[in-house]
Amino acid sequence: MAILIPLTIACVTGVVLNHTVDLGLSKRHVTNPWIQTRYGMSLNGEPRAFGLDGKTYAARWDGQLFHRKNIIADSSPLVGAVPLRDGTAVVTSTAVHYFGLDGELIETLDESTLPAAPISRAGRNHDLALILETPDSLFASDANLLGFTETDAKGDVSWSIPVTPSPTDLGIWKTAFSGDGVPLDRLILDIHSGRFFGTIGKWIYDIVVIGVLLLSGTGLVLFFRTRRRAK
Amino acid sequence: MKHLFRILVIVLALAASAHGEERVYKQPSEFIKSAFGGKIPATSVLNLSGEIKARANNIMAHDYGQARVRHWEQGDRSVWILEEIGKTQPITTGILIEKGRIRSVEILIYRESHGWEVSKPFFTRQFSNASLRDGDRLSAEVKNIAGATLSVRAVSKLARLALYFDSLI
Repeated sequence: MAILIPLTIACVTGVVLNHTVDLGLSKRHVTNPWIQTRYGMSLNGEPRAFGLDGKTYAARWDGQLFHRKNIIADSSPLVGAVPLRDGTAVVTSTAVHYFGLDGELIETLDESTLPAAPISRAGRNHDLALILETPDSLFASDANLLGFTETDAKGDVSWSIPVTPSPTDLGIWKTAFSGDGVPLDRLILDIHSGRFFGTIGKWIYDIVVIGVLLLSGTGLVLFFRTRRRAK
Repeated sequence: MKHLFRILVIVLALAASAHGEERVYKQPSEFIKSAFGGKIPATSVLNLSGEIKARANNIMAHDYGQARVRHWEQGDRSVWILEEIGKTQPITTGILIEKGRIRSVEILIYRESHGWEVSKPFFTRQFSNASLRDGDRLSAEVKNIAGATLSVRAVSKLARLALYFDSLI
């Protein structure tokens, strides 16, 4: 029985894999959360989201930085996410990622284009200009985030603050991280090889295969021995 | 004791270089200033969409990512501060173009532990006077540097990209 179960699984999955193209297995994906977790395609811990006026615009979650469906390559601490007239500024301590209203990245402003760093807070004023707070000064952007000027109008600023994301936001980020899910042919291949069940699974499958080979070999020996005796 | 101190300094210096310490050769603002007689002209923006974006993606061999590019221009000159990843880190490069040909390429900030040879004049002067040929290729032949292939490729792509962008303004 111990050999029968893995052997049956290996045989059935082997037959299925033989028809990967016909069945379109590589085009189908598995989105089951438990399976995705086994492939490391789930986000751990709690997200730290930023927004303004109660709305969420960006979050840092399990080391990833999210804005809508976008994952931003920036490992610096997230300090704010500010909706502007023509887009959203996702602000870390070292960069400003400026997204358009359609969610497309317009430009990333970094050390070469920012007025100063590190940035400790981000917000906007009544003109919807982006405001960046650095240790030495406060800077206001122009309408297109092409230039910054020093400002001292601290009282006029609505600062981006930590917010609680909605279940919809969480779902969007999880999907952005895991993509379409695990390709079905990959899942079946891993079950077929035992890899899906971890290191011990691989060894169990190896033992089963060696066991089958031994059984086949000894069976052949017995067959010819019996035939010789019958003669 | 003195001997030990010297060894310690050498070891620390080697460790710093092995960890890919960022080398800032020139601030981008200084590069722009030097191109325009000490003054930085107003920032201009080239918006990338449609065919322009597609061609930029083709030159870079990946999605360029951004929907606009800053540049500075005056008369026949334009300056572009562009970045491309060598092996794992972006290389910030300044490119000065005049009348459709590269006047100079300078590595402004280099962040990787290997390949910094691309910052040397023996490499960057290969781009002088280069223009864009059919197929968005460089008119100049740029020799590779052993051990810095990825950095060489990155800088070459940026040179082509800057020439293409310059042709649009």
